[in-house]
Amino acid sequence: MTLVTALIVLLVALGVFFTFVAAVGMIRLPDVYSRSHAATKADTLGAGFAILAVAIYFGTVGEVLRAALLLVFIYYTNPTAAHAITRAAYSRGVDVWTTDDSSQEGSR
Amino acid sequence: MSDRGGILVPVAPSSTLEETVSYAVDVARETDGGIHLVRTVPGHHVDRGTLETDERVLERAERRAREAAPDEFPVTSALLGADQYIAGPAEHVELFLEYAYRHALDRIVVDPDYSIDATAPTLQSLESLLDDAAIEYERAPVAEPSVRPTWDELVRGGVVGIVAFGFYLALGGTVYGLLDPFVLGSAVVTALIAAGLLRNVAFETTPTAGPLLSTIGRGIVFVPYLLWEITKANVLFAYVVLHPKLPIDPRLDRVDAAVGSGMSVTAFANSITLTPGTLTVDADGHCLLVHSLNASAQEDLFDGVHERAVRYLFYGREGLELPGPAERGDASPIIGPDAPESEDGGAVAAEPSTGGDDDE
Repeated sequence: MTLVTALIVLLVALGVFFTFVAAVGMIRLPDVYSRSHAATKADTLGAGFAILAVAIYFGTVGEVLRAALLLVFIYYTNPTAAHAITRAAYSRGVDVWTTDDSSQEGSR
Repeated sequence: MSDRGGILVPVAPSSTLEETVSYAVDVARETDGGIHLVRTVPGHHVDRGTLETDERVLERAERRAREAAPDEFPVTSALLGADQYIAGPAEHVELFLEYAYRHALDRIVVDPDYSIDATAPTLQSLESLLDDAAIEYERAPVAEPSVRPTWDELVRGGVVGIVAFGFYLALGGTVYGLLDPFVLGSAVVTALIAAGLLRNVAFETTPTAGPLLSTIGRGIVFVPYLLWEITKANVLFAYVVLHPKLPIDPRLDRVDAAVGSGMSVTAFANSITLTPGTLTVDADGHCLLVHSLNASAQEDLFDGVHERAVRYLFYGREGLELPGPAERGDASPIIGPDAPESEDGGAVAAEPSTGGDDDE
């Protein structure tokens, strides 16, 4: 196993880890707003690591360039999508979960 | 209506500005009121250069009004919004209406080619906003709005074309070879189409070489910083999510961002969303509604860490000097531990934020 392969494995592992964190966050966090944190941040970084691994694996100028562009678009669209979703939730009057709510569970 | 009131003319650097002003002068002469030429500054006043351009446009309108009108005719001109951050048509219209009210003006004459910035004419959104206001307005009957592209438009089209050309080659050229005649030919065609369609959409102001290059230069500093912040955010987030007790303490705050123009507000809102524990929920002009996952994320936000970074990107070194939102008094908790009176459950007092003109 060369150094490059090791690096690719590390990057893919990191990508999987952060995507996993995003999934766990989706399940564990209490409301649409905090779940959005999971969907944007962890997902974005997870995808970032995966794409970086792809770029290194192929290694040609074209692949790297296209991977970089892919990254740019993900970093642009992910927060925008999260913004659209939470904005919709907010204008529909979806409650924001606070620590007060954890004492009086199951109100919804 | 009373025929005493004056007339307000929103001023933009359009080709039909002179005609509009002449028409407004005619109307004003009949109604015996004065004429007020008003220009709103699209929120990039940190840059002295653009403020001077705004002043020149105003002078142009004033000169025309003086030519068209007799000596005793009252002509006033004003530059609004230079001391505040405005983004989006609604905030511009608010400034106009406020001015009209203050000076007891009861009519607005609109240039059909009016636009707030270098994007497509904003006449439609301007008029729909004026419809809601209790003020009379009319469109100046000018010969015909410009069809010929102006120099500014050519510059914008050129920049869009170059970017599109580069983008096309980055995708196609790397597969079939950069010098492949088909790739080159279709790249040129694509670039021309993109330039033609997007020249008035892609920019808020006509780019000039100096500022454009320095923004790109600052972007090279900004992007690694943002990537680092995102990585840090994720490590913290992973800790919080995987912690057995799930130590979160969410809250919702309103922050008045000290950035003007749609582009910088968008960049700020998106970098908030990507960095430690904060998420932009709603944007109304430059007022952002931000959800924070815990207290330390909120502190960062209130100290203005990201805000300064975005200000640096758009305004340069000067942008770093402004105090954070908390110090300025531009931050107010809405829901959460610090909220003024926390009704339990936090019934969201969703204020009627009309329109959806802020997330382009």
